[in-house]
Amino acid sequence: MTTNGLWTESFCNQEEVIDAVTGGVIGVVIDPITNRRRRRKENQRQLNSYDVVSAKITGELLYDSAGIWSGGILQKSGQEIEYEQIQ
Amino acid sequence: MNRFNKNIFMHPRLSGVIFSAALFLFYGVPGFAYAQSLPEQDEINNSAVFTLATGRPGSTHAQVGEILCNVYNRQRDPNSPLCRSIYSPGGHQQLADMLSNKVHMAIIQSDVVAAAYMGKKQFKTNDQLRVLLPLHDQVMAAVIKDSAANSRFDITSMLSKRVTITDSIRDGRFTLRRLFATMGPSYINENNIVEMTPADQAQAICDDRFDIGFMILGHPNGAIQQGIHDCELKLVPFDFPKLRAVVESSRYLNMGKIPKDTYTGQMAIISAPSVAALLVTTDRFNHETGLAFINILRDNQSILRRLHRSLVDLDLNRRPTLVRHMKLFGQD
Repeated sequence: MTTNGLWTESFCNQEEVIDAVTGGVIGVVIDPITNRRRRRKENQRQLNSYDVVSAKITGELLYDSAGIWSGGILQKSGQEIEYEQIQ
Repeated sequence: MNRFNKNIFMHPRLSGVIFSAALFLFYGVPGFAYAQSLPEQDEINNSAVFTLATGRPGSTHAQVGEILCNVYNRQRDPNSPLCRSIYSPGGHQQLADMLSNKVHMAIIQSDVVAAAYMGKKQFKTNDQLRVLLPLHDQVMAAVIKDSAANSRFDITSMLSKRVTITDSIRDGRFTLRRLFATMGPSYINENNIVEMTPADQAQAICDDRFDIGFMILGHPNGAIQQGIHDCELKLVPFDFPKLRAVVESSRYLNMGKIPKDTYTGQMAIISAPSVAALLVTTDRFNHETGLAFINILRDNQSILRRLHRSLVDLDLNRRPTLVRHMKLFGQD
């Protein structure tokens, strides 16, 4: 799977992915955050949450019940950026 | 915090643009010049950030540096400085930048660090250098073309061989020249060695312009993998009694191994001399920050081992063996 697979929840089953920009192999450590499935206040949607660490992306990924990427809180160079769908 | 409105985010055209922007942001763009990646002096002086000089874009050192900073940044105390990894062309440049306060830490080959610390070869004595952690082995790769003529390649003499080694900017050149000088003229004619980039070495062997290429790199390396794909390059063990005797009498070399399956079609462990990749700094670096950095990395060793193939055998609790004479960070 390439890094573009981030769109789908199956990305979170990977241990290595191919960097879609460089073609290199990137190790990823992704663990489900099972004890705090997120429920957004804005829309009460239930989201699956994963903790991710790699050379290129670090933070938290969120997926909806259909397994589609719904946002995340990601770090690059230590700076935090939140992606969120707003209903 | 950035917040994307759903109407924009879900727009059939704009969503692709936004996702591309996200990819750009998080996966980075390779190849931007070292000068562009060096921080400004204001940033160096800003205690909110410390910089880790690594290697060329895409190199093992660059990837490992990004991993170290990411793992530290996600668990650091919010009031502690951020780690920022930057690209660098090689250990000599990293040392110069660190000793002139342009960067705070660097990932450098152990033999280059030791020579700089002791003031050997082209270095002045830099006894303010300190070792933070040993990271991974850098095993010499001896690469030939996998052909019938090479089925019994004789590695014990290079006198009749056309030999290429890594070029002068890379630290591997320093190590290989030193090793071949020790091996002496009965093993190799140093005047016939041609220096090239690893990618050019692989291509030159594929084109039958050279018989063998020697490199010192973190593994797996893209140039070797590309050569294996393009013309069936193969790694050969660089291990025979005379070489082993030189390594055993050396303070800067160990015998190392490239695990099987590191490269496509590599069915056996490859034995060869190796150096180590070290995380180094100077005695001027803030002790509290340095110790916090070391402790977070040690606490996350199991994650680090899964994030890059070169870190599979990572042991951050061992003392670096190739630089016993050097002081560790925190020893004044």
